[in-house]
Amino acid sequence: MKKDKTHKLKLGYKGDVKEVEITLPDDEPRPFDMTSKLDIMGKRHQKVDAVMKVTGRAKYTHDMKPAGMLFGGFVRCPHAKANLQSIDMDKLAKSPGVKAVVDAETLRMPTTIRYAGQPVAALAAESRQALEEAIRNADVSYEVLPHAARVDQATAADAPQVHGNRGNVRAGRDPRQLAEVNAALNSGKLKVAEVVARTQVQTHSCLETHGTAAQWNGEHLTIWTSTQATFGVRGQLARGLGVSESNITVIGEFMGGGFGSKFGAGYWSLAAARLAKKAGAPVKIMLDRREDQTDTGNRPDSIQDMKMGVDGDGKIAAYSVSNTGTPGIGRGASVTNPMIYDIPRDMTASRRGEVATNAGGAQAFRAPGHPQGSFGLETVMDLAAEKAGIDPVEFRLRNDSNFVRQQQYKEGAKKIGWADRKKNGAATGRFRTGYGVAAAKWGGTGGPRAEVLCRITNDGSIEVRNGAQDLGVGTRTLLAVVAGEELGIDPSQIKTAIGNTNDPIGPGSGGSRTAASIAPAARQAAFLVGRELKALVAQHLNCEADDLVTKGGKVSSLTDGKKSMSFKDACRLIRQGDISAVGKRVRNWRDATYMNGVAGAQFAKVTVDCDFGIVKVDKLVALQDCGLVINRLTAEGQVFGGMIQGLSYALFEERHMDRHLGHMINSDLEMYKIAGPADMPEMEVVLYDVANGANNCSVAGIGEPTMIPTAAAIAGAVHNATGVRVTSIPMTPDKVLMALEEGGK
Amino acid sequence: MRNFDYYLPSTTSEAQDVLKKVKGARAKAGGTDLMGLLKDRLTAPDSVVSLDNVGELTGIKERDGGVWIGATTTIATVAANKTVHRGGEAVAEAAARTGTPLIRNRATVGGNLCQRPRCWYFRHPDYPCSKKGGETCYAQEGENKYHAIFDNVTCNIIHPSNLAPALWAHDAKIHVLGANGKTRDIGIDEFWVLPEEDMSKETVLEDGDLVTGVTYTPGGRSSGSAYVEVREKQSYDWALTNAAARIDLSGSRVKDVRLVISAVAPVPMRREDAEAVLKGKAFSEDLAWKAGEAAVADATPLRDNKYKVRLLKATVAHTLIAAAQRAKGGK
Repeated sequence: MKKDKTHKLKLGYKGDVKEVEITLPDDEPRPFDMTSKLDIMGKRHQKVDAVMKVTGRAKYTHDMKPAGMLFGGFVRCPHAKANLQSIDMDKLAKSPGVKAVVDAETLRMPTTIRYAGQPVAALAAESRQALEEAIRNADVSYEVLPHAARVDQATAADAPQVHGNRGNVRAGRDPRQLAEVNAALNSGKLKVAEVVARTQVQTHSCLETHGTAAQWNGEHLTIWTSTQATFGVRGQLARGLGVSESNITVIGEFMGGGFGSKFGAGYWSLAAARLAKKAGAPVKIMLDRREDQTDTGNRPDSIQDMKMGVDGDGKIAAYSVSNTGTPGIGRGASVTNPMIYDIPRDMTASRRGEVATNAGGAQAFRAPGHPQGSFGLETVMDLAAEKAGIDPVEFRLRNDSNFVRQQQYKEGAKKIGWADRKKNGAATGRFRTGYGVAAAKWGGTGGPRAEVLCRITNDGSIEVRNGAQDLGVGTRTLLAVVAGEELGIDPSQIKTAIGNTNDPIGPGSGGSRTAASIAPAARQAAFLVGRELKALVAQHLNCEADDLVTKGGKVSSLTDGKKSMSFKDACRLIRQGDISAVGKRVRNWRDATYMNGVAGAQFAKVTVDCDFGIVKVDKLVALQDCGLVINRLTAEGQVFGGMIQGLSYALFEERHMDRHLGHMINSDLEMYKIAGPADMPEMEVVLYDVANGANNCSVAGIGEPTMIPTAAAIAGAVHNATGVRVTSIPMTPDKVLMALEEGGK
Repeated sequence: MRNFDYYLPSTTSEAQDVLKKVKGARAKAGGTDLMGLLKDRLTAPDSVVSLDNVGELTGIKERDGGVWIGATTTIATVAANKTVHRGGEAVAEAAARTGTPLIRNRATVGGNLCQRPRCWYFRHPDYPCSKKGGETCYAQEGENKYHAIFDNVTCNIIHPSNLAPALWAHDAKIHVLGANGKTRDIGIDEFWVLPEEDMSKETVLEDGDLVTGVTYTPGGRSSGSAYVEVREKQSYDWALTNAAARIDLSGSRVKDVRLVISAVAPVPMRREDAEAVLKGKAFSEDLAWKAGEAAVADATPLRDNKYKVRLLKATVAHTLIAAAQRAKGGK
């Protein structure tokens, strides 16, 4: 019978404390708060699988080679818009070395071609060479139609239609307050900044391309796949193949990047499973780089047309924004703008539109909608501050009431050297230095479903298991750290297992939810086995179980220093084998929390070479809250990763669609440019340990918010350095030089 | 990639024998370009002849007032070589700016001069562009941000070699062993072929020719050279513009000058009009910018690469300024 227990908690961040009372079942540990003295959580821990990764012992889907494995792949359409007329499947099946073929119909793939590179048939062959030869020699005929692969083509008069006759442009609806907002902006009482900002299509460019190996054993299917959602893939495959979930095991112990593009099973997994069944042999399909760049998702581009009005107190009084983006043939190109700042809702007019194009469809991408929205919003913020004659940091302090970000603006300004900042455009000469700032906000406090198994054995060993994957979160390590904190054992001594759907369920890694979802379940599981262990020890030492703590590798009495035994000796009291428990993630205690999300800010210092138009980022400072930190080393790693991807988005990455044949013309990692070592600035990370009280670990995600403000902060710094605003990313030399020329600089 | 026979000869003549006897055989040094060509099916030879074991083609030697670099000498070796740094600064800088450490350790001088263009239409398997025997240059009206601003009527490729302009600034000769077994020297100014002359290749080399090395003229006292490259990324990227210059000073007066630009046309280009701006005059930064102006005077940019004109002007100016600085003794 569960009893309830009331806990008094201190939540918040330095100088802003909220005292709450919360009543929980007694099988829930007391939530961590500002008063919790943590020995292990929040410290720096090397990833428990670091050595496996650097020595190559960690096996990725790319490495899988079950005995007798065939190589799978696709025949793809080279036209951006076409109708598939015929394909000679017999010839394909008889190609040398080909062992199985599956047509588009069986794979439920459309025969109306809407983008260049769309698959029309799948095949498996005994070698990579045989596969390529068969694909090259495939007999396929198409009715080729005019396409609109680019936004300028899709929005032209008489543009070819991407989806039937629906029209390519879905215009945003005017909000009811538009007239009022326009009246305020035109009243002459406000300082008004006006700008159109543009962002590009960014591809996920995961180091490990998308792919799957499939093997049938009778009716049971084993899938190795590069995924960020093992259980999601299992569900989709079950539905797609008409097989029950209990007959499918999805394994993704290691994966090389997803960024939002690896939630689904993907047509490649369905094709691999079907080909494997047909061929009676395991089949692996790993997309090549061109396929991966073209056909596995992207971050939509955006055009953000904005007007912002500032009143005499330097407060934003009216805001109008119209956003459009292209999701290609997919859906969802919405831009998150406005966000973060205290812009009066009734004086905000925002419209959202979309443009369909004959290009690969959009997918979720690290903070969907946000980095593009941030670039737009912070651009108009900086211009509004300039119009109002207010320093950009001061302008944000006046228009952002979030307590944590207020501290972050002040601390970040000190760390970047904001005091040395000259007025916009005051720098002269070839090399000009400037400073910029931008903010971030995200949710990511996690939730159900997540279940974690914790087991302690009478030899003293501890094992923690969850079936979810590691997208880069450091999942194994965080399980070990949280269980280690609860049981008083060093994380390096704890065994972990992840990435296999035979283990308890875990979340897909999206919305920065992984850590915040499974850490509380892991803590609860460890709490439950610890409680059972304490009961055994209490009997042995003749004391009360409530008087015992597991700390520093010992189980000891709080009141009687003599009553203590090592954790290992305590485990010997377990008579039969082991004690195990499953911790189940409960819902967040939303009404009792300090904050149901995270706050962040980033600062950039850049030097612009005004002769060559090159932006060199000298330094980035990230100030980021992720609730209480589980592992300081990997949390910082997440922030570094976010800043690097943000810098790369700001300066280099861009999908180029060709207007002639409609291919992504830079579908590689050579002309699709990603920041490299020599482009790296000095980076500083300041983590804000906010006891948010959202879950029993007070943990929130950090993967996504850290990429949101980087590009905008860099753009602000370029503006400050040169006195001209580059309103489009990536800020490549062509755009920087053009802005300088137009600005007469 | 299509299967092929692989040969590993250990002397130049053995290599030549295979190249002569086996039809369509391709020589491979570092393979950094050839592997990409094979994977993208831009070439599918039956045989590949590796030069890895041909030791006699590797090395850097001072010879008859020139500096000889063997064809299979790696770019990394050139970038680190003391002889090259002394009097061949532009060559050393161009080598150091090539590719990545991984590529520089593998790629060779001969391969660098003979590499195929990087145009994204040329490299994409689904574009039958004019360079590949088709009828259209897709870049002409298409996505041409990275393309040529000179000689860009029939084909808009830009020359990808960093070393080419630097070696040209040092009046290099290219040593070639012909299919007939005879060696010949080709002046670097006569080594390149414009698309209008022959669409199928970028150099005057014929089937069976093997580049064995290159000899350049190092600068003496009162001479300095420099190579400047502008690119978007500082790690692993291709040049948007580059230039190499050698300046011989007499006092502050420019006695002689070579200015070669690249990454802006299908072949590297010596800019004698720009040289003329400097020749015989006292060097100044102002004059360098005027030379930059002259170097871009006849540019014919396309829709998306107009920025390259401004960029090239600055590239030329800074190259000349750096070379003059060195000539004055500020190496």
